[in-house]
Amino acid sequence: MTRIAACLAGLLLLCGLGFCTREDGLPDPPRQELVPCRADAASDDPLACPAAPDDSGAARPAADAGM
Amino acid sequence: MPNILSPHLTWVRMMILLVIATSWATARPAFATVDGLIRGTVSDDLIQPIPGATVTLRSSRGEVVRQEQSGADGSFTFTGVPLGEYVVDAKVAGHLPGHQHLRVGSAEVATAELYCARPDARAIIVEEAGVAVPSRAAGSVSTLTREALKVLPKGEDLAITEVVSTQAGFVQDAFGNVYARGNHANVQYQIDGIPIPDSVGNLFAQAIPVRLIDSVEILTGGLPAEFGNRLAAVVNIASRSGGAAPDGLVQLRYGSFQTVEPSAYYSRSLGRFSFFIGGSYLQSQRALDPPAITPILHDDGSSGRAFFRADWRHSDSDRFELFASYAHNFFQIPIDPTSVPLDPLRPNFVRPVDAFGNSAASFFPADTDATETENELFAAASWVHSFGQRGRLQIAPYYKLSIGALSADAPHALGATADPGSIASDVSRRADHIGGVVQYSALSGKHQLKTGFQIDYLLSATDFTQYVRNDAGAQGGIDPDKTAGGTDRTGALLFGAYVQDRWDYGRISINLGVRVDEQHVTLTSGETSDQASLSPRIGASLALLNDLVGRLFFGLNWQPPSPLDAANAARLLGVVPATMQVPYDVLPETALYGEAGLDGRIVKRLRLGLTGWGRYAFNQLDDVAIGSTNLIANYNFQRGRAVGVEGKLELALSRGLSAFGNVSWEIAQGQGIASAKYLFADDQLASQEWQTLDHVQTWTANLGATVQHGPASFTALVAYGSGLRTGPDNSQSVPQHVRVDATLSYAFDTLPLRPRVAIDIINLLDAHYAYRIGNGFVGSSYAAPRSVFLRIAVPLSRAPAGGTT
Repeated sequence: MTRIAACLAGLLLLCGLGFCTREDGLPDPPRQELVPCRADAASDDPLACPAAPDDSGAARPAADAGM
Repeated sequence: MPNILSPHLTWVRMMILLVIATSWATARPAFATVDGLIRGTVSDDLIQPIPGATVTLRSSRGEVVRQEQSGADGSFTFTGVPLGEYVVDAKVAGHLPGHQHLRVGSAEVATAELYCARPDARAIIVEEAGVAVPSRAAGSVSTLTREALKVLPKGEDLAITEVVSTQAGFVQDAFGNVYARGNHANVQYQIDGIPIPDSVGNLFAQAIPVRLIDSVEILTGGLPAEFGNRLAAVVNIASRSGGAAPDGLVQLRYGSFQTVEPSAYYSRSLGRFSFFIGGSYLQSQRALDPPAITPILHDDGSSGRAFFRADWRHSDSDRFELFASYAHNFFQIPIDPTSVPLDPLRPNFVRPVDAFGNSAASFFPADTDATETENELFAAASWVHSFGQRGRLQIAPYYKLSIGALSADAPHALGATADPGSIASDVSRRADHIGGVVQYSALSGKHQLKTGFQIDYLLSATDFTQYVRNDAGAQGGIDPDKTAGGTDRTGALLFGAYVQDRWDYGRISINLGVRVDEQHVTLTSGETSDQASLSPRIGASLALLNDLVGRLFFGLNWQPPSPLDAANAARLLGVVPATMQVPYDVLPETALYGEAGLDGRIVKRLRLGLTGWGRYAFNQLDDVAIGSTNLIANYNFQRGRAVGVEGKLELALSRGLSAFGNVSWEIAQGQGIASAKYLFADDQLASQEWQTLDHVQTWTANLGATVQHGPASFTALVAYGSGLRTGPDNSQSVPQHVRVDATLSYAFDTLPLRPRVAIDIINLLDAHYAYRIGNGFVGSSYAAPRSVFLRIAVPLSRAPAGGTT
C-alpha cells in the first residue's frame, strides 16, 4: 500500500516536472520558405511558375488525391 | 467480375432466396449475431457424468446470468449468451463445486468441462490456465471485456477506435481513423447485433467511449456471411445494461491542452426493467490532429456524448431493448503554421516541395475561422424472442440522423494573403437513415444456423456554396459574380440477406455461408445506379492438438461505395463546377479474400498466434481525406492486391499481471484509377503501375502490460509504426515512431466518497511524429506530444471497488 502510494506520488512529481508538452516556441516542423520557380517545369509540377493572371484555374489545389 | 449478379437482379429473386434460406433454417435450430453459445459437461473425479447438477452462468462481475440443470449425460447448453467473459460453476449434493472461466464470442462455441469431485476423492487437481484457450473461429477474432478495457490509458474515456488500434492488423491514423489489413476505413461497427450506417468520417465510432461497452469482439478478417457490406473488419459491441446492483460513476478529467471532460453514468435494475444512462462533455484546445506539433493554431473544439439503454424482460422468452445515442462535435479547422503566403513582390517564387517530394498544402490566411460541426443521433429498438433450445429471433428497427456542416469562412479564407484564384466552399449535409435487421439463429445437433436480412434506406441532401477570390482587389475577398451554389440529393436503398451454418464435429469446425447484397442509388437528376453481389464464404478450423488450432478461410467480400460521400471532395474543393452534377461513377469493390492461421496455448500462461492473409480486389475502393477535416470521398482503382502477416501473444504471469503483444506486416496496392477522375491529374489517370496505398504502414507493433494489486493498477502501452506512406506516388514513408502511454490508478476505498484517482501520460517519451504528411488534398496531421491527464471519479453506488476509475 505504502509502496503504491509512493509510486503514485513519484509519478505525480514526474508529471509535474515535465508537465504537458514541449512548448519551445519554435515551429515543428519548421516554417516553409518560398523558392524560385522553374521556368522549364511542367504545368502540373508544384515548382512550375505561376500562370498569367488571366489563366483560369491557376490556383486550383494540386490534383493529387493522396492515394 | 466486380458484380457477380446482374445489376438488374430483382427484388423477387432476392426474396425467393431469402424465403428458401429462412425455411431451411427454421427447419433446424439459433442465435442472434451478438450472442454466443456455451456447451459443456459436468463430471465427477472419475470422469463420470453427473446429471441434475445446478449449472450457473455468472458475468465477470459475479452476477447470475443464467441457471440450468445438467442433463442425463451431464451435458448443458446456454444459448443466446451475450459476448464477453463468464464463469460457469456447477454444484451438486455430495460433491465439491467446480467452476471454469470462459470467453464467449459470436464466431465459435465456448466449451466448459466442469469437475465436481467427491469429498473422499484421493486427488483431483483442475488447474485453470492463465490465458484463454485458442479460438475455434475460422477467422481472426479477439474479444475484450470491460474489465480489460478500463485499465488502459485514458480508461473509460477511450474511444473504441483507440482500443481497436491496439489489435493486430490495425493501423492508426489522425482523427481517430483506423485501417484494417490494408483497407481504408471499411470497418463495420455493430451494437447489440445492429449494424450502424455510415457516419461523417468515423464520428460514430469515436462517439463510443469504453464506458458504454460491456464487451467487444473484433473480427479482422475471415468475416462470416452474417457480416456484410464491409471488407476489412467488424467491431461487434455488446453495450452495457443495468445489473442486479446499482452502478454509477461521476468523473472529471483534466489535463494537457486545457482539456476538461466531465462524465457520468448510472445503471440499475428495477424488477424486469433495467437501464443504463451515460454521457460526457469534452473541451480541448487540441481537438483535431493539427498539421504541426507546435504551435497549434486554431484547433479548439468541443464534443458531447449521451447514451441510453433500457431493457424490459417481458418473460423468459421475450426481451425488449431500446438503445439511443447522441453525439455532437464542434471543431475549428487547424491552420498550418508552416505554410507561408505567396509574395506579390516576388512573383516568380513558389512554395517548396518537401523532403518527400510532396507539394505544399493549400495556404489559408491565419485569421481564417473555418469550422466543422457534426451532430449524430442513433436510436434502435430490439425484440429478442427465444424458442428455448430451438432458436432465437431478433427484430431490430433503427433510425439514424447525421448532420454535418463545414464553414469555410470565405471572407477571410479568400483574403489579402490568399493565393490568386483561391476557392472556398461551405458544405452542409443531412442524412436520414431508416432501416432494420431481422436475424434468426438455431441450434440443431452439431449445427448452428443463422439467417437474416437487413435493409437501410438513406435520404440525404448536401447543400454547398462555392466562393471564388476577387483577384481584382488588393484585399482579395469574395467575387460575388462567381459565387455559386446548389444542392445534391441522394437516395440509396441497401438490402442484404444471408444464411450460414457452423458445423462442429469433434476437432473440426466448418463455417459455410452465403449472402446477397444490393444497393440502389438515386441522384438529383433522377439517374439511378444498381449494384449487387453474391458472396459465398467458407472457413474451417481444426484442433490439431488440445491447445493448438489451425484455421483457414476463403471467401468473397463486397462493399458498396458510400453514395453520401461521393460529392464531398468535388464540392469542397470546387473541382467540379457548381452548376454541374458531380458524376456518380464509383463502383462497389469485390474482393477475393483468404487467410490461414495457427493459434496455440504454448504453456498455460502463454498463447501465441500467427496469421497470413491475402486479397485480390476488383474495383478496389479507396478514400481520400479532405484537408484537415473529417470528410472523405470515395474512388476506385481498377484492381487491388494486398498481403500481410500478423503475430500476437497473450501472457498471464500471475493473477494480477498480464500482457499482450502483436506485430503486423502488410502491403496493399492499387492499379489504374477507375472513378472520380476529377480528383486526379492526367499523369495519374494514365498510369497503370501498381501503386502502394497511402494508408499502408509496413510494420506495426503493440505491446501492453497491466499490473493490478488490490485497489491499484498500472498499465503501459508501447506502439511502434514504421510510418504511413507519403510522397507523390506513395513510394516513401513518414518517419517511424515509438509511442509509450502509461496510466496509474488507485481506488481510495477508505476515504469519504471512495474517490478513484488516475493519471494518464500519453506519449511519455514526448516523441514528435506525424501520422501523415500530406500530399495533394490530404492534409498533414501530427500526433500529440507528451500529454498528461488527471482523472478523479466518485462512485455512485456501493459496488465493490474495481481499483480503477
